[in-house]
Amino acid sequence: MKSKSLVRKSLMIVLLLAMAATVSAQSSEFMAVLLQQDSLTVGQAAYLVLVASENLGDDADEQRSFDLLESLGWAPRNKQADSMVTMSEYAYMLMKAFNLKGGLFYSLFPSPRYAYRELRYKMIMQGPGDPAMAVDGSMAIRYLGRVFDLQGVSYEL
Amino acid sequence: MSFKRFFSFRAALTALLLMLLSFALPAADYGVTLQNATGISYSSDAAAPGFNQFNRLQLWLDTPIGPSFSLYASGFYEFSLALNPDSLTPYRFDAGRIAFSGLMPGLFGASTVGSFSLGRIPQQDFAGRIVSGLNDGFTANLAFDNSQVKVGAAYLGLQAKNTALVMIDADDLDRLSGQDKAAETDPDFPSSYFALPRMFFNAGYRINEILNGHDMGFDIFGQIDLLAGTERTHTWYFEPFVAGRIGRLLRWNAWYILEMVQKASIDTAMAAGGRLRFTVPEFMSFNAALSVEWASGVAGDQMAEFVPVRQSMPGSYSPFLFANNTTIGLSAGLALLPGMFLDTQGLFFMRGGASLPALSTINTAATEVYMGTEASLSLRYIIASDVQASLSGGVFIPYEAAHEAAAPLSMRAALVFVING
Repeated sequence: MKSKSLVRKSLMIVLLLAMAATVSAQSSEFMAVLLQQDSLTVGQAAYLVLVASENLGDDADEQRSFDLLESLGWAPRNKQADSMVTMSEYAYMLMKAFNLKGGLFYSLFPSPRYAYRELRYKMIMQGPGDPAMAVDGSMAIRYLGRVFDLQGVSYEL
Repeated sequence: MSFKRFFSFRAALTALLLMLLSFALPAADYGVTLQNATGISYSSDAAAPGFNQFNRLQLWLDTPIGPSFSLYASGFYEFSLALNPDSLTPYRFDAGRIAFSGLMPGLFGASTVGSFSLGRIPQQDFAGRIVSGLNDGFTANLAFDNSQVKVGAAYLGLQAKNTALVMIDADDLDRLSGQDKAAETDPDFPSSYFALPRMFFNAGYRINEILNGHDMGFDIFGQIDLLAGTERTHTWYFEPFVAGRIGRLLRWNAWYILEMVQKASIDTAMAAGGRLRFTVPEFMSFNAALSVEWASGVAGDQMAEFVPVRQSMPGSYSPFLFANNTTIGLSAGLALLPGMFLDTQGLFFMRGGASLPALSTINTAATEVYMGTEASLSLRYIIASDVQASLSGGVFIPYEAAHEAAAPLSMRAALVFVING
Protein backbone atom coordinates (compact mmCIF):
# COMPACT_ATOMS: atom_id res chain seq x y z
CA MET A 1 0.00 0.00 0.00
CA LYS A 2 2.82 2.33 0.89
CA SER A 3 4.64 1.71 -2.38
CA LYS A 4 1.40 2.32 -4.28
CA SER A 5 1.02 5.60 -2.47
CA LEU A 6 4.55 6.65 -3.30
CA VAL A 7 4.07 5.76 -6.95
CA ARG A 8 0.81 7.67 -7.05
CA LYS A 9 2.24 10.67 -5.28
CA SER A 10 5.28 10.69 -7.53
CA LEU A 11 3.07 10.46 -10.57
CA MET A 12 1.08 13.43 -9.37
CA ILE A 13 4.15 15.52 -8.73
CA VAL A 14 5.52 14.57 -12.15
CA LEU A 15 2.18 15.50 -13.63
CA LEU A 16 2.17 18.90 -11.99
CA LEU A 17 5.76 19.56 -12.96
CA ALA A 18 5.09 18.27 -16.41
CA MET A 19 2.06 20.48 -16.70
CA ALA A 20 4.25 23.40 -15.80
CA ALA A 21 7.00 22.33 -18.15
CA THR A 22 7.01 20.41 -21.38
CA VAL A 23 4.68 17.41 -21.62
CA SER A 24 2.56 19.21 -24.13
CA ALA A 25 2.34 22.70 -25.41
CA GLN A 26 -1.30 22.71 -24.31
CA SER A 27 -0.70 21.93 -20.65
CA SER A 28 2.30 24.21 -20.54
CA GLU A 29 0.22 27.02 -21.92
CA PHE A 30 -2.58 26.14 -19.51
CA MET A 31 -0.28 26.37 -16.47
CA ALA A 32 1.18 29.66 -17.64
CA VAL A 33 -2.32 31.10 -17.97
CA LEU A 34 -3.47 29.50 -14.71
CA LEU A 35 -0.75 31.06 -12.60
CA GLN A 36 -1.64 34.50 -13.95
CA GLN A 37 -5.32 34.08 -13.15
CA ASP A 38 -6.90 36.12 -10.35
CA SER A 39 -10.01 34.00 -10.67
CA LEU A 40 -10.25 30.55 -12.23
CA THR A 41 -13.10 29.59 -14.49
CA VAL A 42 -15.08 26.43 -13.91
CA GLY A 43 -13.48 24.96 -17.03
CA GLN A 44 -9.95 25.67 -15.83
CA ALA A 45 -10.69 24.26 -12.38
CA ALA A 46 -12.27 21.17 -13.96
CA TYR A 47 -9.21 20.62 -16.17
CA LEU A 48 -6.80 20.99 -13.26
CA VAL A 49 -8.69 18.72 -10.88
CA LEU A 50 -9.72 16.04 -13.37
CA VAL A 51 -6.25 15.74 -14.89
CA ALA A 52 -4.57 15.68 -11.49
CA SER A 53 -6.96 13.00 -10.27
CA GLU A 54 -6.39 10.94 -13.41
CA ASN A 55 -9.98 11.22 -14.51
CA LEU A 56 -8.90 12.92 -17.74
CA GLY A 57 -5.87 13.00 -20.02
CA ASP A 58 -3.88 16.22 -20.20
CA ASP A 59 -4.64 16.61 -23.89
CA ALA A 60 -8.23 17.62 -23.07
CA ASP A 61 -9.35 21.22 -23.23
CA GLU A 62 -11.37 23.25 -20.73
CA GLN A 63 -14.71 22.68 -22.46
CA ARG A 64 -14.17 18.92 -22.55
CA SER A 65 -13.17 19.01 -18.88
CA PHE A 66 -16.33 20.93 -18.07
CA ASP A 67 -18.46 18.47 -20.07
CA LEU A 68 -16.96 15.55 -18.16
CA LEU A 69 -17.53 17.39 -14.87
CA GLU A 70 -21.17 17.89 -15.80
CA SER A 71 -21.60 14.27 -16.82
CA LEU A 72 -20.18 13.20 -13.46
CA GLY A 73 -22.67 15.50 -11.72
CA TRP A 74 -19.92 17.58 -10.06
CA ALA A 75 -20.38 20.79 -12.05
CA PRO A 76 -21.76 23.86 -10.27
CA ARG A 77 -25.41 24.55 -11.00
CA ASN A 78 -26.28 27.15 -13.63
CA LYS A 79 -22.67 27.76 -14.60
CA GLN A 80 -20.77 27.39 -17.85
CA ALA A 81 -17.16 26.53 -18.55
CA ASP A 82 -16.20 30.20 -18.62
CA SER A 83 -18.05 31.15 -15.40
CA MET A 84 -15.98 32.04 -12.34
CA VAL A 85 -15.50 29.14 -9.93
CA THR A 86 -15.96 29.81 -6.23
CA MET A 87 -14.04 28.34 -3.30
CA SER A 88 -16.94 26.08 -2.35
CA GLU A 89 -17.38 24.82 -5.92
CA TYR A 90 -13.66 24.11 -6.23
CA ALA A 91 -13.77 22.35 -2.85
CA TYR A 92 -16.61 20.14 -4.10
CA MET A 93 -14.61 19.21 -7.22
CA LEU A 94 -11.61 18.26 -5.06
CA MET A 95 -13.75 16.22 -2.66
CA LYS A 96 -15.40 14.31 -5.49
CA ALA A 97 -12.40 13.86 -7.77
CA PHE A 98 -10.15 12.57 -5.00
CA ASN A 99 -12.93 10.71 -3.23
CA LEU A 100 -12.26 12.45 0.09
CA LYS A 101 -14.34 11.39 3.07
CA GLY A 102 -16.55 14.11 4.50
CA GLY A 103 -18.40 14.68 7.74
CA LEU A 104 -21.97 13.74 8.65
CA PHE A 105 -23.58 16.61 6.77
CA TYR A 106 -21.41 16.14 3.68
CA SER A 107 -22.39 12.45 3.65
CA LEU A 108 -26.08 13.33 3.98
CA PHE A 109 -26.08 16.37 1.70
CA PRO A 110 -23.01 16.27 -0.56
CA SER A 111 -22.73 19.83 -1.84
CA PRO A 112 -20.22 22.67 -2.30
CA ARG A 113 -21.29 24.15 1.05
CA TYR A 114 -20.26 21.13 3.10
CA ALA A 115 -17.27 20.37 0.85
CA TYR A 116 -15.92 23.85 1.65
CA ARG A 117 -16.52 23.25 5.37
CA GLU A 118 -14.73 19.90 5.16
CA LEU A 119 -11.66 21.29 3.44
CA ARG A 120 -11.46 24.11 6.00
CA TYR A 121 -11.59 21.47 8.75
CA LYS A 122 -8.87 19.41 7.06
CA MET A 123 -6.84 22.65 6.72
CA ILE A 124 -6.57 22.22 2.97
CA MET A 125 -8.20 25.62 2.61
CA GLN A 126 -6.64 28.00 5.12
CA GLY A 127 -6.62 31.67 5.97
CA PRO A 128 -9.34 34.25 5.58
CA GLY A 129 -11.88 33.41 2.93
CA ASP A 130 -15.49 32.66 2.25
CA PRO A 131 -17.34 30.08 0.16
CA ALA A 132 -18.24 32.59 -2.57
CA MET A 133 -14.71 33.91 -3.01
CA ALA A 134 -12.88 33.48 -6.32
CA VAL A 135 -9.98 31.00 -6.51
CA ASP A 136 -6.77 32.31 -8.03
CA GLY A 137 -4.29 30.11 -9.87
CA SER A 138 -1.67 29.77 -7.17
CA MET A 139 -4.31 29.01 -4.53
CA ALA A 140 -5.76 26.29 -6.72
CA ILE A 141 -2.35 24.63 -7.08
CA ARG A 142 -1.67 24.98 -3.34
CA TYR A 143 -4.97 23.33 -2.39
CA LEU A 144 -4.27 20.52 -4.83
CA GLY A 145 -0.85 19.98 -3.28
CA ARG A 146 -2.39 19.74 0.20
CA VAL A 147 -4.86 17.14 -1.05
CA PHE A 148 -1.88 15.07 -2.26
CA ASP A 149 -0.21 15.50 1.12
CA LEU A 150 -3.37 14.43 2.91
CA GLN A 151 -3.78 11.36 0.78
CA GLY A 152 -0.15 10.44 1.25
CA VAL A 153 -0.51 10.66 5.02
CA SER A 154 -3.72 8.66 5.06
CA TYR A 155 -2.25 5.91 2.88
CA GLU A 156 0.76 5.61 5.14
CA LEU A 157 -1.51 5.20 8.12
CA MET B 1 -30.63 53.68 32.16
CA SER B 2 -34.21 52.45 32.37
CA PHE B 3 -35.20 49.00 31.27
CA LYS B 4 -37.12 50.23 28.20
CA ARG B 5 -34.45 52.66 27.14
CA PHE B 6 -31.86 49.97 27.64
CA PHE B 7 -33.69 47.52 25.42
CA SER B 8 -34.38 50.19 22.78
CA PHE B 9 -30.65 50.69 22.70
CA ARG B 10 -30.14 46.93 22.37
CA ALA B 11 -32.79 46.73 19.65
CA ALA B 12 -31.05 49.50 17.71
CA LEU B 13 -27.74 47.71 18.07
CA THR B 14 -29.31 44.43 16.94
CA ALA B 15 -30.90 46.12 13.93
CA LEU B 16 -27.57 47.68 12.99
CA LEU B 17 -25.87 44.32 13.33
CA LEU B 18 -28.50 42.55 11.24
CA MET B 19 -28.17 45.25 8.58
CA LEU B 20 -24.41 44.76 8.49
CA LEU B 21 -24.89 41.00 8.34
CA SER B 22 -27.34 41.27 5.46
CA PHE B 23 -24.70 43.13 3.44
CA ALA B 24 -22.17 40.45 4.28
CA LEU B 25 -24.46 37.41 3.90
CA PRO B 26 -24.01 36.69 0.17
CA ALA B 27 -20.33 35.92 0.75
CA ALA B 28 -20.60 34.50 4.25
CA ASP B 29 -20.09 31.07 5.66
CA TYR B 30 -22.82 30.35 8.17
CA GLY B 31 -24.15 27.43 10.12
CA VAL B 32 -25.70 25.94 13.21
CA THR B 33 -24.05 24.26 16.18
CA LEU B 34 -26.16 21.99 18.36
CA GLN B 35 -24.90 20.93 21.76
CA ASN B 36 -26.69 18.31 23.82
CA ALA B 37 -25.51 17.40 27.31
CA THR B 38 -27.02 14.83 29.66
CA GLY B 39 -25.68 14.70 33.17
CA ILE B 40 -26.16 12.69 36.30
CA SER B 41 -24.92 13.58 39.75
CA TYR B 42 -24.72 11.91 43.11
CA SER B 43 -24.05 13.39 46.51
CA SER B 44 -23.74 11.27 49.62
CA ASP B 45 -26.10 13.62 51.49
CA ALA B 46 -28.83 13.68 48.83
CA ALA B 47 -31.93 11.47 48.89
CA ALA B 48 -31.76 10.67 45.19
CA PRO B 49 -29.33 11.14 42.30
CA GLY B 50 -29.65 14.35 40.35
CA PHE B 51 -30.28 14.53 36.63
CA ASN B 52 -29.85 17.38 34.20
CA GLN B 53 -30.35 18.05 30.54
CA PHE B 54 -28.81 20.98 28.70
CA ASN B 55 -29.28 21.92 25.05
CA ARG B 56 -27.87 24.83 23.09
CA LEU B 57 -28.60 25.81 19.51
CA GLN B 58 -26.14 28.36 18.20
CA LEU B 59 -26.36 30.20 14.89
CA TRP B 60 -23.14 31.64 13.51
CA LEU B 61 -21.92 33.62 10.56
CA ASP B 62 -18.37 34.22 9.38
CA THR B 63 -17.32 36.45 6.54
CA PRO B 64 -14.27 38.39 5.41
CA ILE B 65 -14.78 42.09 4.71
CA GLY B 66 -12.10 43.07 2.26
CA PRO B 67 -8.58 41.71 2.51
CA SER B 68 -7.90 42.93 6.07
CA PHE B 69 -11.12 42.63 8.03
CA SER B 70 -13.59 39.94 9.01
CA LEU B 71 -16.84 39.61 10.87
CA TYR B 72 -17.94 36.68 13.02
CA ALA B 73 -21.28 36.74 14.78
CA SER B 74 -23.17 34.14 16.78
CA GLY B 75 -26.18 33.92 19.03
CA PHE B 76 -27.75 31.04 20.85
CA TYR B 77 -30.87 29.57 22.41
CA GLU B 78 -30.51 27.42 25.53
CA PHE B 79 -32.78 25.02 27.33
CA SER B 80 -31.93 23.41 30.64
CA LEU B 81 -33.73 21.09 32.99
CA ALA B 82 -32.57 19.65 36.29
CA LEU B 83 -34.14 17.18 38.69
CA ASN B 84 -33.09 16.82 42.33
CA PRO B 85 -32.94 19.71 42.93
CA ASP B 86 -35.56 20.72 40.36
CA SER B 87 -35.13 23.67 38.06
CA LEU B 88 -36.28 24.51 34.56
CA THR B 89 -35.06 27.22 32.19
CA PRO B 90 -37.21 26.78 29.08
CA TYR B 91 -35.36 29.41 27.12
CA ARG B 92 -32.42 31.70 27.27
CA PHE B 93 -31.30 33.75 24.30
CA ASP B 94 -27.99 35.52 24.27
CA ALA B 95 -25.18 36.63 22.03
CA GLY B 96 -22.23 34.32 21.60
CA ARG B 97 -18.94 35.48 20.17
CA ILE B 98 -19.34 38.57 17.99
CA ALA B 99 -16.14 39.98 16.57
CA PHE B 100 -15.22 42.54 13.99
CA SER B 101 -11.53 41.83 13.50
CA GLY B 102 -8.70 43.21 11.47
CA LEU B 103 -5.17 42.12 10.64
CA MET B 104 -2.79 44.72 9.22
CA PRO B 105 0.70 43.52 8.33
CA GLY B 106 3.22 46.33 7.97
CA LEU B 107 1.10 48.78 9.97
CA PHE B 108 4.09 50.77 11.30
CA GLY B 109 6.85 49.36 9.14
CA ALA B 110 7.91 46.16 7.46
CA SER B 111 8.39 44.10 10.62
CA THR B 112 5.19 45.13 12.37
CA VAL B 113 1.78 43.49 12.42
CA GLY B 114 -1.24 45.23 13.89
CA SER B 115 -4.47 43.48 14.76
CA PHE B 116 -7.66 44.30 16.60
CA SER B 117 -10.92 42.71 17.60
CA LEU B 118 -14.08 44.50 18.66
CA GLY B 119 -17.33 43.06 19.98
CA ARG B 120 -18.11 40.20 22.38
CA ILE B 121 -14.66 38.72 22.22
CA PRO B 122 -12.41 36.38 24.22
CA GLN B 123 -10.04 38.21 26.54
CA GLN B 124 -7.80 36.85 29.22
CA ASP B 125 -4.66 37.44 31.19
CA PHE B 126 -1.69 35.07 30.86
CA ALA B 127 -2.91 32.61 33.50
CA GLY B 128 -6.63 33.16 32.90
CA ARG B 129 -7.08 33.73 36.63
CA ILE B 130 -7.91 37.46 36.52
CA VAL B 131 -10.38 37.27 33.67
CA SER B 132 -11.13 34.84 30.85
CA GLY B 133 -13.90 34.06 28.42
CA LEU B 134 -16.09 36.38 26.37
CA ASN B 135 -16.34 40.06 27.25
CA ASP B 136 -17.91 43.08 25.55
CA GLY B 137 -15.03 45.27 24.50
CA PHE B 138 -11.98 45.42 22.30
CA THR B 139 -8.39 44.28 22.09
CA ALA B 140 -5.63 45.74 19.95
CA ASN B 141 -2.24 44.14 19.43
CA LEU B 142 0.95 45.31 17.83
CA ALA B 143 3.73 42.82 17.10
CA PHE B 144 7.14 44.21 16.21
CA ASP B 145 10.45 42.38 16.02
CA ASN B 146 10.16 39.80 18.79
CA SER B 147 7.81 41.84 20.98
CA GLN B 148 4.06 42.18 21.34
CA VAL B 149 2.12 45.01 22.94
CA LYS B 150 -1.60 44.72 23.63
CA VAL B 151 -4.29 46.94 25.09
CA GLY B 152 -7.95 46.25 25.71
CA ALA B 153 -11.06 47.19 27.62
CA ALA B 154 -14.45 45.66 28.30
CA TYR B 155 -17.77 46.36 29.99
CA LEU B 156 -19.29 43.60 32.13
CA GLY B 157 -22.83 44.91 32.62
CA LEU B 158 -24.24 43.46 29.38
CA GLN B 159 -23.43 39.87 30.30
CA ALA B 160 -25.67 37.39 32.07
CA LYS B 161 -24.66 37.42 35.72
CA ASN B 162 -24.28 33.64 35.78
CA THR B 163 -21.75 33.67 32.98
CA ALA B 164 -20.05 36.94 33.94
CA LEU B 165 -19.35 35.39 37.36
CA VAL B 166 -18.28 38.66 38.91
CA MET B 167 -17.96 38.19 42.67
CA ILE B 168 -15.92 41.19 43.72
CA ASP B 169 -18.00 42.62 46.54
CA ALA B 170 -21.31 42.16 48.38
CA ASP B 171 -23.26 43.91 45.60
CA ASP B 172 -22.18 41.24 43.13
CA LEU B 173 -23.05 38.42 45.52
CA ASP B 174 -26.51 39.92 46.09
CA ARG B 175 -27.01 40.21 42.34
CA LEU B 176 -25.94 36.61 41.81
CA SER B 177 -28.25 35.30 44.52
CA GLY B 178 -31.17 37.44 43.31
CA GLN B 179 -31.35 39.33 46.60
CA ASP B 180 -30.49 42.73 45.24
CA LYS B 181 -32.61 45.83 44.84
CA ALA B 182 -33.34 45.18 41.15
CA ALA B 183 -34.85 41.79 41.93
CA GLU B 184 -37.04 43.27 44.68
CA THR B 185 -38.39 46.11 42.56
CA ASP B 186 -38.74 44.26 39.30
CA PRO B 187 -39.46 40.63 40.13
CA ASP B 188 -41.23 39.82 36.86
CA PHE B 189 -38.40 40.62 34.59
CA PRO B 190 -34.81 39.82 35.31
CA SER B 191 -33.29 43.25 35.07
CA SER B 192 -31.03 41.48 37.50
CA TYR B 193 -30.33 38.98 34.71
CA PHE B 194 -27.24 41.02 33.93
CA ALA B 195 -24.08 41.46 35.92
CA LEU B 196 -23.55 44.79 37.67
CA PRO B 197 -21.98 47.64 35.71
CA ARG B 198 -18.24 47.27 35.90
CA MET B 199 -15.54 47.73 33.34
CA PHE B 200 -11.94 46.72 33.06
CA PHE B 201 -9.04 47.77 30.93
CA ASN B 202 -5.76 46.06 30.38
CA ALA B 203 -2.34 46.46 28.83
CA GLY B 204 0.37 43.92 28.32
CA TYR B 205 3.82 43.40 26.92
CA ARG B 206 5.49 40.15 25.88
CA ILE B 207 8.96 39.62 24.54
CA ASN B 208 9.52 36.36 22.70
CA GLU B 209 12.72 34.33 22.89
CA ILE B 210 14.36 36.65 25.38
CA LEU B 211 16.37 33.59 26.36
CA ASN B 212 16.69 30.47 24.27
CA GLY B 213 13.12 29.15 23.93
CA HIS B 214 11.74 31.45 26.61
CA ASP B 215 9.25 34.33 26.57
CA MET B 216 8.64 36.87 29.33
CA GLY B 217 6.07 39.56 29.81
CA PHE B 218 3.48 41.14 32.02
CA ASP B 219 -0.21 42.01 32.04
CA ILE B 220 -1.80 44.92 33.89
CA PHE B 221 -5.54 45.00 34.59
CA GLY B 222 -7.70 47.65 36.23
CA GLN B 223 -11.32 47.02 37.18
CA ILE B 224 -13.63 49.96 37.84
CA ASP B 225 -16.86 49.64 39.82
CA LEU B 226 -19.49 51.79 38.05
CA LEU B 227 -22.39 51.09 40.41
CA ALA B 228 -23.54 54.35 41.98
CA GLY B 229 -24.95 54.63 45.47
CA THR B 230 -22.96 51.87 47.12
CA GLU B 231 -19.45 51.47 48.34
CA ARG B 232 -17.39 51.01 45.23
CA THR B 233 -14.74 48.34 44.97
CA HIS B 234 -12.06 48.84 42.36
CA THR B 235 -9.35 46.25 41.82
CA TRP B 236 -5.92 46.48 40.19
CA TYR B 237 -3.65 43.67 39.07
CA PHE B 238 -0.05 43.27 37.95
CA GLU B 239 0.90 39.89 36.50
CA PRO B 240 4.45 39.11 35.35
CA PHE B 241 5.03 35.74 33.70
CA VAL B 242 7.59 33.55 32.02
CA ALA B 243 6.94 30.67 29.62
CA GLY B 244 9.37 28.45 27.82
CA ARG B 245 10.50 25.08 26.65
CA ILE B 246 13.39 22.90 27.71
CA GLY B 247 14.31 20.63 24.87
CA ARG B 248 11.62 19.37 22.53
CA LEU B 249 9.37 17.61 25.01
CA LEU B 250 9.21 19.81 28.09
CA ARG B 251 7.37 23.11 28.48
CA TRP B 252 6.89 25.19 31.59
CA ASN B 253 5.45 28.46 32.76
CA ALA B 254 5.23 30.46 35.96
CA TRP B 255 3.21 33.52 36.86
CA TYR B 256 2.46 35.76 39.81
CA ILE B 257 -0.38 38.21 40.41
CA LEU B 258 -0.23 41.15 42.78
CA GLU B 259 -3.67 42.60 43.45
CA MET B 260 -4.80 45.80 45.13
CA VAL B 261 -8.41 45.88 46.31
CA GLN B 262 -9.46 49.51 46.60
CA LYS B 263 -12.54 50.39 48.67
CA ALA B 264 -12.60 52.52 51.83
CA SER B 265 -9.17 51.07 52.46
CA ILE B 266 -6.66 49.45 50.17
CA ASP B 267 -5.93 45.76 50.68
CA THR B 268 -3.33 43.59 49.05
CA ALA B 269 -3.89 40.09 47.72
CA MET B 270 -1.79 37.69 45.69
CA ALA B 271 -1.91 34.59 43.54
CA ALA B 272 0.76 32.54 41.82
CA GLY B 273 1.12 29.39 39.83
CA GLY B 274 3.13 27.34 37.41
CA ARG B 275 2.96 24.32 35.19
CA LEU B 276 5.37 21.76 33.83
CA ARG B 277 4.13 19.89 30.77
CA PHE B 278 5.73 16.87 29.15
CA THR B 279 4.62 15.79 25.68
CA VAL B 280 5.63 12.92 23.43
CA PRO B 281 3.71 13.46 20.18
CA GLU B 282 5.15 10.30 18.61
CA PHE B 283 3.72 8.08 21.35
CA MET B 284 -0.07 8.34 21.01
CA SER B 285 0.16 12.12 21.50
CA PHE B 286 0.99 11.46 25.13
CA ASN B 287 1.11 14.43 27.49
CA ALA B 288 1.41 14.81 31.24
CA ALA B 289 1.44 17.91 33.39
CA LEU B 290 2.13 18.98 36.95
CA SER B 291 0.61 22.27 38.06
CA VAL B 292 0.57 24.25 41.26
CA GLU B 293 -1.68 27.25 41.89
CA TRP B 294 -2.13 29.40 44.96
CA ALA B 295 -4.60 32.16 45.74
CA SER B 296 -4.26 34.14 48.93
CA GLY B 297 -6.70 34.18 51.81
CA VAL B 298 -7.16 36.64 54.64
CA ALA B 299 -4.12 36.82 56.86
CA GLY B 300 -4.68 39.50 59.46
CA ASP B 301 -4.04 42.99 58.14
CA GLN B 302 -1.25 41.76 55.92
CA MET B 303 -3.19 40.00 53.19
CA ALA B 304 -6.70 39.94 51.72
CA GLU B 305 -8.48 37.19 49.83
CA PHE B 306 -7.64 37.11 46.12
CA VAL B 307 -10.56 38.54 44.11
CA PRO B 308 -10.40 38.27 40.32
CA VAL B 309 -12.50 40.24 37.83
CA ARG B 310 -14.20 37.01 36.78
CA GLN B 311 -14.28 34.17 39.25
CA SER B 312 -12.91 30.80 38.18
CA MET B 313 -12.56 27.36 39.74
CA PRO B 314 -9.38 25.32 39.95
CA GLY B 315 -11.34 22.10 39.44
CA SER B 316 -14.50 20.88 37.77
CA TYR B 317 -16.03 18.62 40.41
CA SER B 318 -14.97 20.29 43.67
CA PRO B 319 -16.73 23.30 45.22
CA PHE B 320 -13.67 25.56 45.59
CA LEU B 321 -13.30 28.89 43.88
CA PHE B 322 -9.88 30.23 42.99
CA ALA B 323 -9.53 32.06 46.28
CA ASN B 324 -7.90 31.16 49.53
CA ASN B 325 -6.52 27.79 48.50
CA THR B 326 -3.57 25.94 47.06
CA THR B 327 -4.14 23.34 44.36
CA ILE B 328 -1.68 20.73 43.17
CA GLY B 329 -2.74 19.08 39.93
CA LEU B 330 -1.52 16.06 38.01
CA SER B 331 -2.92 15.31 34.59
CA ALA B 332 -2.22 13.00 31.69
CA GLY B 333 -3.72 12.39 28.29
CA LEU B 334 -3.23 10.34 25.15
CA ALA B 335 -4.90 9.58 21.83
CA LEU B 336 -6.25 6.04 21.98
CA LEU B 337 -7.26 6.09 18.31
CA PRO B 338 -7.19 8.80 15.64
CA GLY B 339 -9.66 11.38 16.92
CA MET B 340 -10.19 9.66 20.28
CA PHE B 341 -8.58 11.26 23.34
CA LEU B 342 -8.46 10.08 26.92
CA ASP B 343 -7.62 12.59 29.65
CA THR B 344 -7.36 12.11 33.37
CA GLN B 345 -6.69 14.56 36.18
CA GLY B 346 -6.18 14.56 39.92
CA LEU B 347 -6.33 17.72 42.05
CA PHE B 348 -5.36 18.07 45.69
CA PHE B 349 -6.80 21.03 47.56
CA MET B 350 -5.20 22.75 50.52
CA ARG B 351 -5.73 25.94 52.42
CA GLY B 352 -4.33 29.07 50.85
CA GLY B 353 -3.50 30.75 54.11
CA ALA B 354 -4.47 31.02 57.74
CA SER B 355 -8.15 31.57 56.98
CA LEU B 356 -10.57 29.10 55.43
CA PRO B 357 -12.38 28.97 52.09
CA ALA B 358 -15.98 30.15 52.26
CA LEU B 359 -17.65 26.76 52.13
CA SER B 360 -20.58 25.77 54.29
CA THR B 361 -19.11 22.35 54.96
CA ILE B 362 -15.78 23.58 56.26
CA ASN B 363 -15.11 22.84 59.91
CA THR B 364 -13.97 26.20 61.21
CA ALA B 365 -12.38 24.60 64.25
CA ALA B 366 -10.18 22.33 62.16
CA THR B 367 -6.54 23.15 61.61
CA GLU B 368 -5.90 20.67 58.79
CA VAL B 369 -4.22 22.06 55.70
CA TYR B 370 -5.41 19.37 53.30
CA MET B 371 -9.08 19.74 52.32
CA GLY B 372 -9.89 17.13 49.71
CA THR B 373 -9.17 15.47 46.38
CA GLU B 374 -10.81 15.62 42.99
CA ALA B 375 -10.32 12.92 40.36
CA SER B 376 -11.72 12.99 36.86
CA LEU B 377 -11.65 11.10 33.58
CA SER B 378 -12.74 12.28 30.14
CA LEU B 379 -13.07 10.48 26.82
CA ARG B 380 -13.51 12.65 23.71
CA TYR B 381 -14.17 11.29 20.27
CA ILE B 382 -14.24 13.27 17.03
CA ILE B 383 -16.64 11.00 15.16
CA ALA B 384 -16.53 13.12 12.03
CA SER B 385 -15.42 16.63 11.20
CA ASP B 386 -18.84 17.92 12.27
CA VAL B 387 -19.78 15.49 15.04
CA GLN B 388 -18.07 15.13 18.40
CA ALA B 389 -18.96 13.23 21.54
CA SER B 390 -17.49 13.21 25.01
CA LEU B 391 -18.08 11.22 28.15
CA SER B 392 -16.66 12.62 31.33
CA GLY B 393 -16.99 12.03 35.01
CA GLY B 394 -15.40 12.99 38.28
CA VAL B 395 -15.58 12.74 42.02
CA PHE B 396 -14.74 15.07 44.90
CA ILE B 397 -13.70 13.37 48.12
CA PRO B 398 -13.61 15.81 51.05
CA TYR B 399 -11.04 15.23 53.77
CA GLU B 400 -13.29 14.56 56.75
CA ALA B 401 -11.05 16.10 59.36
CA ALA B 402 -11.16 19.45 57.56
CA HIS B 403 -14.92 19.42 57.01
CA GLU B 404 -18.03 19.01 59.05
CA ALA B 405 -19.00 15.40 59.71
CA ALA B 406 -21.66 15.54 57.00
CA ALA B 407 -19.37 16.82 54.27
CA PRO B 408 -20.66 14.99 51.23
CA LEU B 409 -18.79 12.98 48.69
CA SER B 410 -20.03 14.09 45.29
CA MET B 411 -19.84 12.56 41.82
CA ARG B 412 -20.93 13.78 38.40
CA ALA B 413 -20.87 12.37 34.89
CA ALA B 414 -21.96 13.85 31.58
CA LEU B 415 -22.42 12.72 28.01
CA VAL B 416 -22.12 15.54 25.49
CA PHE B 417 -22.75 15.60 21.74
CA VAL B 418 -21.84 18.51 19.49
CA ILE B 419 -23.02 18.69 15.90
CA ASN B 420 -21.97 21.43 13.48
CA GLY B 421 -24.31 21.87 10.57
